[in-house]
Amino acid sequence: MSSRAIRAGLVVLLAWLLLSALALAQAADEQPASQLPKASSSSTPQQDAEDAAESSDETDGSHNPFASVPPDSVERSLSRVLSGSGSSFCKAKQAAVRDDPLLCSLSRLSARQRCPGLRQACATPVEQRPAATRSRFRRLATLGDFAFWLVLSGLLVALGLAVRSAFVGAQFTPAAARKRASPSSPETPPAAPQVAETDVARLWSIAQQSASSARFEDAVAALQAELIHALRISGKLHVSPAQTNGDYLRALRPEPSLQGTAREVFRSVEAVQFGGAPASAELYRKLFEHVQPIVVRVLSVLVLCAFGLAQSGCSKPFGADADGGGHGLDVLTQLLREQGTIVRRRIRALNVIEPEVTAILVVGEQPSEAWAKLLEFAAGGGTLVVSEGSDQLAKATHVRYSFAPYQGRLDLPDVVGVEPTRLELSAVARHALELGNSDDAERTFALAGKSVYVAERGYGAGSVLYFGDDEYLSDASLSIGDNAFFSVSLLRREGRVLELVGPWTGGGASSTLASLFKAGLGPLLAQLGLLAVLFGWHGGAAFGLRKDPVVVRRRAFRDHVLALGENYRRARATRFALASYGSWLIERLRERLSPQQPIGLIDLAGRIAARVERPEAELVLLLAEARDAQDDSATARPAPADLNTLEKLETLTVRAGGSK
Amino acid sequence: MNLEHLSGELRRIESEVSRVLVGQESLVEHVLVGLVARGHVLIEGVPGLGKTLLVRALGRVLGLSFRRIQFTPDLMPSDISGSTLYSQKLGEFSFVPGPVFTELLLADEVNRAPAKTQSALLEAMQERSVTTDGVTRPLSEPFLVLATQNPIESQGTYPLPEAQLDRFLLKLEVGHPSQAAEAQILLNYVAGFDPGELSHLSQVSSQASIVAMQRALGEIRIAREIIDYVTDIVRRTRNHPSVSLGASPRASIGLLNVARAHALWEGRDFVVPDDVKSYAHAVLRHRLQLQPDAELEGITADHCVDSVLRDAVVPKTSA
Repeated sequence: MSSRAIRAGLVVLLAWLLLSALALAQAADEQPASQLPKASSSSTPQQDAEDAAESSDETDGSHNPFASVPPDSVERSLSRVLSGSGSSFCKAKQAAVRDDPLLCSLSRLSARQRCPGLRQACATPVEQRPAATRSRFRRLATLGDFAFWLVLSGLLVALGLAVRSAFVGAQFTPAAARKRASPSSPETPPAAPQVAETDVARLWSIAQQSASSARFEDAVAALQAELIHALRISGKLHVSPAQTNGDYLRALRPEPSLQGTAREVFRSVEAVQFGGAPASAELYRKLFEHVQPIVVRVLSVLVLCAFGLAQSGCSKPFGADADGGGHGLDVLTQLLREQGTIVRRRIRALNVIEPEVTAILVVGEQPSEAWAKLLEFAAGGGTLVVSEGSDQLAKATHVRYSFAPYQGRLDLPDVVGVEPTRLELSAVARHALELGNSDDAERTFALAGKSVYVAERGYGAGSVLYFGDDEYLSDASLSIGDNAFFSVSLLRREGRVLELVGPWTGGGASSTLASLFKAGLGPLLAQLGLLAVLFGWHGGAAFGLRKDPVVVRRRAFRDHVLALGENYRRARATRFALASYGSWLIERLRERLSPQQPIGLIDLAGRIAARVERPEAELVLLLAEARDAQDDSATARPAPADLNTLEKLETLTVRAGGSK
Repeated sequence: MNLEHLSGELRRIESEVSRVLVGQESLVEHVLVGLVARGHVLIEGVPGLGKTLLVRALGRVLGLSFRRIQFTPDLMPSDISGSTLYSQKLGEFSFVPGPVFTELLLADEVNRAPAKTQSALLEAMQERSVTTDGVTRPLSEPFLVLATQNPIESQGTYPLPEAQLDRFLLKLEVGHPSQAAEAQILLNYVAGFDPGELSHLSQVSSQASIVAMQRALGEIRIAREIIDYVTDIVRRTRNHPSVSLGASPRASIGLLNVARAHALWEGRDFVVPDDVKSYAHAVLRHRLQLQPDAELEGITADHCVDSVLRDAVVPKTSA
């Protein structure tokens, strides 16, 4: 592949990366486009008409939300969602959900069940289940649990012992080593490493293994290498194959104690490696005691860093119900999307809420500053949907959540415009709403017994929609009765954006690039990308390719002359330059004007004068000056006159026909 | 052989010399290492840095005889080696030894004498004997020549040819002392220090000790890997793109001997790679002939040695 092709490829790749980064920065806080529903996919002419009616109703604040959503459409969507792979609670007859009291309570509340597995599992009394199966599963489960904890405990114990023996209380026993190394021992010691190892942990292991096999020469060498690389990791040394131990000691000069330790280790190991001194168990133990604290320090930092990274980088998105256990919001999300609402999970902080967001569903607890932003959003005309109380919310809207357990059918008041017998709503409630006095318009949508369970109250130019519990919007709850239709009717926003705000909001970024942009490093990343493009354009070679050694080529004669002239200039050797150039020029002119026989300066000047039509005396003086410069070139001081003479000689040469 | 004793003696010598030669500890160490390695030292530095004082102090502290020759264009070979003169009193020819018959010889501004005179000294340095009128006379042991030359002046000088430079074991470049060291020099003068009077220096060694040190070098162990490291470094000087003529096998031998002497200085009975590396510049810099274009570009022999050391892999490295 030619360098031009590589260059072009590199530029295209970097440009693509840059564009990707910018695109990701834009989309970092939004759902992928493929997940967004097409606004018109589920809409029908009838729905359009209803939407138009809804829009007109919204303007006067008394619209009937349940009239604008066809129940059949929600039913079809619900069937599709529940039959998908994400709702395992709905299909597994022997699912573990039978042990979930909430799910089973929900399943028993309604006759309209869409999850036969859940219903069957919960309907089967524990004592009526096949004893053998139950006992077998129980035994297996118990055995599995026991095995899990046993293995985990064993691993922890082994890890603890390894740490203890390696770093804390390592005691080397020469007798044990001799025993292992005895001829009768069937164990073949591992071969000494041929390639320079740079990993501190592996070097530690090599040292331990070698010492255990009584190969102390390898063991002390590994200890020395371990020390060097531990210091490299901690940034105190730059390690290269051309560096000697003396170089390392000089680099450690700023830390005398460390330098002393390293000197002792190096001297001992060098005595073994180059001085023929025997490497003994005593020596190994002595060096071990020197190296151990330093390496442990470095490794501890590394382990902590790795642990921190693992903790911060491997968690799954909060709020996702990845196992389909029935408590997530997947069903609600998918139903709303099928009904034309753009649902997206908000990752960015709530500092700026985009104007296209019309509703926000709040899940879980939020910090007080988030509540301030959310209430500000509602006051500005948005719809805030909450399922958990807070002091800020109660203070602002005079609606409180109280503990009021209830299990059964929800009643619909007459004001919602739906016949009470038409919808079958059920809930396992823990809280109820206390609607305080307020001048704002309010509507109650559902009652749990005598308590308000779902209600809406105006707030500023917008409104707040209250649900008694977040479990009412959960996957399992929506699978029974008309809960799904009820919830979708209240939350649906045709063609507009509803955002889910939860503990994940403001807590991270969806990608590394998004994280960089979020941290304000976007411009820096763009600059680096641009720099890389320029570098690639200039260098023209792919990164990471092995290159042949650079062949140093001889420079052209012209370069040597220029360099020589530069040296003359630096040394201010004007007289020397005049002498060199003058003598060379006089010889060339002699060869040209009198090739047959040598002539003196006067004759030469005469012939030149005849050719260039200048006074002969002037030319004699000029040539004599050039010749005299040869006599005193080493002693004369630099003078501008020499440069003038050089210039005159140059002009003369050109007029005389050049020097060739 | 008691290495610690010998090493301690070398340290005492350095310490004693450093009482009068302030701020040149490295120079003293290098000269002593050169002496123990049975080599000769070429010192390049501007006048006034204490080169003569160093040799006189060394002679005093080591208990060795000291002579100085000021090289001039009219210096004759016989002015160095000595000549056979007719004694009217005895009625016979007798040999009058020249200043080369000493143990420490300072050849000041060695490049001011013509090549013929230089070669008389260089022959004595190499053979450690002087031949006049067909008679070969051995020089005393130890025999150390400290030759100096001025790096600035070039007029009226006769640069040493490469073949003759090769006979110097070490070429040292002496720089100006630090400000603190120079202040200490002035304080010494204020306190009455007289560079011509060194009687206050103690003799901490002897001719026999120096010879014992030189012989002890044979006992210093050299691992095969060290030999490979030395040959690798020297071979790389021959293949360096900026060098037209690399170091000779004599340079390899010299580097090995110096590494041994430095090991003795450190009190070790074996050579480590650092012994080789730390003396590579001093051993190699005067043996490399640079390409003309490299010289024009300002590349020096030290740059080439640096480059070689960056590429040569240290034996049994942990990297």
